[in-house]
Amino acid sequence: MANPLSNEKEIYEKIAKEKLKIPSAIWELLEHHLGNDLYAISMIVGSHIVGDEKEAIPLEDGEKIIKHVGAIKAFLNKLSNVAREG
Amino acid sequence: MALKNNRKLKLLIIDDEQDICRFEKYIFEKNNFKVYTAQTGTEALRVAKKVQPDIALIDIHLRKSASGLEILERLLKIASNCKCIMASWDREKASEAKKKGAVGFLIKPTEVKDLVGIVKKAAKMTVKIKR
Repeated sequence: MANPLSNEKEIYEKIAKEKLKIPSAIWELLEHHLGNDLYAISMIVGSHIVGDEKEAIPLEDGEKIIKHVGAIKAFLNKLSNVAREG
Repeated sequence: MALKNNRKLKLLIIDDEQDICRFEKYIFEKNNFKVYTAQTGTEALRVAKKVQPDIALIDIHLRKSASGLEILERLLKIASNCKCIMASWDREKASEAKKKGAVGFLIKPTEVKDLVGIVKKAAKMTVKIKR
């Protein structure tokens, strides 16, 4: 879990106070890409460690996790290139 | 999970992501379901006609295919007793899914325990379940 930013509380307060919204097109992309890759990671890991029969995560499944993390990074880079302020 | 006649409950997973199909299949086989997977609407309906699933877990957002909501409607015409659970990151689709006959709605991303929980809840709606 990421450590919170030192000014994270203020950022949330600013978002609420100024009623900042994420445009729906960006929100759709965020939820689709992050949602699918995070869900895939959750299933890969969970299939081995949730339930009564826990087992080590095989190397090939670890590689799949890395692939999904890479997809998240590529998506965020692409989004940043077209939508970042400044 | 099994029925009173010891037949395993048949679960059809419909998701265009290969990894998700593969790992959900693995998870539910460990939970004693007979699992079938499909990555497109056409494939899903063909499998549903053939195996008459007890439960279907349907992703709403399928690329290069009919939407999950269309598949839901068509699947229920083929397998009217099938308990369908829709999955999406878009929670606003939940009411539409229920109107079209879904018994459950899973908001992605989620954890394995929640996924298994919602499918087991649908399994309990299958009347001949073994207690």
